[in-house]
Amino acid sequence: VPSEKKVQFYSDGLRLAGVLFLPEDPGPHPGVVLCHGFTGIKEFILPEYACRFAAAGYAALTFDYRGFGESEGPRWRLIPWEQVTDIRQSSQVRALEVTVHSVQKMIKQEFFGHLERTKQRYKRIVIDSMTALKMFSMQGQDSRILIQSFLRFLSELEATSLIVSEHLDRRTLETEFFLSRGEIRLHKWLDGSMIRRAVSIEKFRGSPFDDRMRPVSITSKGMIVQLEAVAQSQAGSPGVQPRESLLEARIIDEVSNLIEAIMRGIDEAHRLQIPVRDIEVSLSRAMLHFQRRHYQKALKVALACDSELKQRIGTVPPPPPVTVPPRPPEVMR
Amino acid sequence: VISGKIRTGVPGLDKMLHGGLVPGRPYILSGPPGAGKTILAMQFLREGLEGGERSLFVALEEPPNELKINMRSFRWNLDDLDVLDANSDIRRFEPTPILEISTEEEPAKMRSIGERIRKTPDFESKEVTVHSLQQLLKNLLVKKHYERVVIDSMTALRYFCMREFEEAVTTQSFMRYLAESKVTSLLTLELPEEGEVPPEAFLARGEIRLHKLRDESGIKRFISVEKYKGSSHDEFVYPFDITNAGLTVHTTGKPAGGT
Repeated sequence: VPSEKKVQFYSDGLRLAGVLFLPEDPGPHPGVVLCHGFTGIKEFILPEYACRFAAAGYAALTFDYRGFGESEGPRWRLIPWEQVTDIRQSSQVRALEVTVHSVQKMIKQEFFGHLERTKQRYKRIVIDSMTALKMFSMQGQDSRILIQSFLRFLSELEATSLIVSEHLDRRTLETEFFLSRGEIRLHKWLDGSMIRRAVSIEKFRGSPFDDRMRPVSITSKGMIVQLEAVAQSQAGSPGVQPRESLLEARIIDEVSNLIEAIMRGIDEAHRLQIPVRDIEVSLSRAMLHFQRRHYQKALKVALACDSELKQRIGTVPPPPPVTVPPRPPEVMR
Repeated sequence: VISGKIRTGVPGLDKMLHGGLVPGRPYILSGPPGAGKTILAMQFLREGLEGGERSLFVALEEPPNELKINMRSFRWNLDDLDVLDANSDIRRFEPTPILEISTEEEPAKMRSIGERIRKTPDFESKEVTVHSLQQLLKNLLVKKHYERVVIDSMTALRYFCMREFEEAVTTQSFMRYLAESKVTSLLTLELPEEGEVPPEAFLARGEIRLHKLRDESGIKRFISVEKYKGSSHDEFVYPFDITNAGLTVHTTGKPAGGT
């Protein structure tokens, strides 16, 4: 079954809409452009032909001339010479076709071509970037499998490869981050009017590593890591993205004061031999939230600990029992 | 407390689990990339091997040759560990036949694993699907009577060995299969840095979670038992280190936090 995908290209600044019919194999393929007749559109008659061409191994393109169908351009006019220009511009479509298989094929050809010419293997490969490859070349449901296969392909070349990737969302789990054997993370933040940069190692299978965030500067000699220094973000607060608003700074103060108060309270409870183990457990959770910078959650848990603790030690009277309506006087003696 | 618990190979963790794991059940070991899941899983298997238990590691994320090299620095004797290479080959885009991993495939002993990566053959690609892997495990469990199994990782199994439409149902049936098979299994699970916990965590009998916190002064690691059906357990979050001896959990002194 040939695949169909919507494409677009430009002719005299107008965006023209097309559909590209591709054979199953990765190509490259010879191409055919199918043009509709006067006052026709690309959906009319042409798809059937395009499918037949694709089944026979051709990349077949159908499109709407300017002013027709889904294409831009003034309606109600038909100038054949302009349509010739549109047909000529359709050759742009080919340039859009970079797929993960074609990239893989290119790397393979280059790798083994180089080996044959020079008797040497490439030892280092950089993929710049995985994010672009994912966005432009492997949309669709099998993208995880394609990334796994691509990384397996790089592993089997037995070169050391560096894959540039942007971690766009901390809440999603990107395949390359857990399949890679290590992760070097670059940090960048604004400190007043200065851009600060730092580097850290997040993961390195099979080896110990320095886990601190080290400041880096970009100079005419390239990137320089200051091994003796530790990156200093604002106010010594934990700083992967060290930009805290005033509000955040206040909540941090509040939570840390609260946690200290609770710890004092727990010591007090121990002295009085009041059981508070469950509060200690909740407090350890609050601290974990705090270190994760989930301040709201930390505050909520810490507040609950605080009130429970106060109740048990007895500095605050227990809340009144569930109100029981007074008995009617006749029942009383 | 159920008697006859088995040790995890990490003394501090056994203490947190009030003696260890109830044998014959599946457990989740979750954490973000770089938290130390694979190392802990290896300690679990090594503990088994030392007690003469038959143990299997199913590798879905890392080629076995690299696993072997990475574990060398710990100087653990893993020679008798069975390793099943369940990494799929490079996918082919030409219309050549794709072969599912054979359900008769045999795991390799760690001692016999070579230095170099297995190469995808020129004319056929081996693909691992959850269905063939499950059948293969069934055969292996009957033949070899494993007592400890590690699946590293469930995330890779879900991402690379299932079609999206079948994920929920198939994951559930795979976990159910493991529960019925009476083997003690540890399934690793990748967690994102923030946000939702994947659904596998709800299906297991217990979950051990590794936490990784980073600030400029370094990475701090913590461990907690999130859930443990059929047993009491410690609810604190404790710090741990990774050294030449593997994971060391600091259960003495103050739990997580302590400024």
